[in-house]
Amino acid sequence: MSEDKSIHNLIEQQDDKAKQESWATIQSRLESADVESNGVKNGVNTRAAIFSKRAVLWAICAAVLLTAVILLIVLLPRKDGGPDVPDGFEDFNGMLGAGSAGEYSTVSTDYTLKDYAAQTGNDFLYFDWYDKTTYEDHIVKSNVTDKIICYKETIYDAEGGYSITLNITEPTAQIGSLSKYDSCPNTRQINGTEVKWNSDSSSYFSAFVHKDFRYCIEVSECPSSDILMNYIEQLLP
Amino acid sequence: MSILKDEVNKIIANIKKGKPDALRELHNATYGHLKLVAFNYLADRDDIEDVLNDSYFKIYKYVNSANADRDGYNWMCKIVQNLCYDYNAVRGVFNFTDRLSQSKLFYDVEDNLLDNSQLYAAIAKLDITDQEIVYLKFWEDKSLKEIAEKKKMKKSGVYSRLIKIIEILKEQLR
Repeated sequence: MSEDKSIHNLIEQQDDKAKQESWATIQSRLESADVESNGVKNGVNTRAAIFSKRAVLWAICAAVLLTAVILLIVLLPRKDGGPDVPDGFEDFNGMLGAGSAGEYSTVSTDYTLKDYAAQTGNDFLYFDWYDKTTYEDHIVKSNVTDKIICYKETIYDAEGGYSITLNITEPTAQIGSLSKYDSCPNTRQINGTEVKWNSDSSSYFSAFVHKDFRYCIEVSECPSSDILMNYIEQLLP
Repeated sequence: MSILKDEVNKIIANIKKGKPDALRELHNATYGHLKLVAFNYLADRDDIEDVLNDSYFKIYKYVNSANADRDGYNWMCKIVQNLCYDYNAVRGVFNFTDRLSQSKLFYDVEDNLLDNSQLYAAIAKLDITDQEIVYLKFWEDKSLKEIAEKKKMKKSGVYSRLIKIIEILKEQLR
């Protein structure tokens, strides 16, 4: 309909003062939060500004070379047994903080929880939204044994608008950064699994055991337990 | 083909490319639309600006999650609606019935017209079915088919109603 555009324009012309005020508030909030999205910082494409095409090419070459060297180092000693992937996680008991001086370290990974489940042959629960959202994965390693003690994935639910963090460990593992999950006072049964949950000022979080693994799930900036429970329901078969 | 979807998708692509004024442009093209969507889903009118503020912040932060093949405006509406549910929950309201179902689309509980605008006043004079059609079409950007299904009408019936409604509105706003 040819009039569609004019109605849309008319809608946007209502209450112009409120609109200007709204933009001023948003702009100052963006500036103070210095929010970054896809290399776009406050409307400026920093990625484009920092890297010239030549620099990007050099970076790619260096990355390929580095990957090849790392692969050689990692794969050569394992000729006999194939990829060194654990069956599960090392049981861990340490309540100190992370970092090089602590008992465990968190390392960023390029693969997803789905990939990790396939690699290790474990039937982990995960949100299969990888093709339509952003996510970040980490492994937590013991500084003493260098074994993986926890897998951590943070994934954004683009439809619901919430950021969800999932930590998977052995059921009896004691990891300092997950201590808040040890004392959840509330319980609920979801699909036959006992789910313990609690909340703090900015999130709802919960822990449950499924098929020999403990799942610690947290939904950030979440106002109600129902939202958390909905996600757990989606996870549990 | 939705005009709003095309426009919003184009602007979102520009935000992703890092064009400096693209977010301002997005705000300019959608603020009035999203304001009524927020008003429709919120239990308390005082939360509108906070919801919109949070929405644009989230939209910018997660703009990469917006799939270029899908409806960017619909994605923005979803973010606004979810934030409305959150704000309602903070106020202890968990099952708020949207104004569309209350036949109070452009009015708050004290029967004040939102923004006191001429356009809203003109729409508020239409019968409730026409108000719903106009809201679904121009604010929630639903297709004729979706509106027809929701209103249990024929697609052609919705189309002819819209033509008529636009004529009435033009007449009233003249």
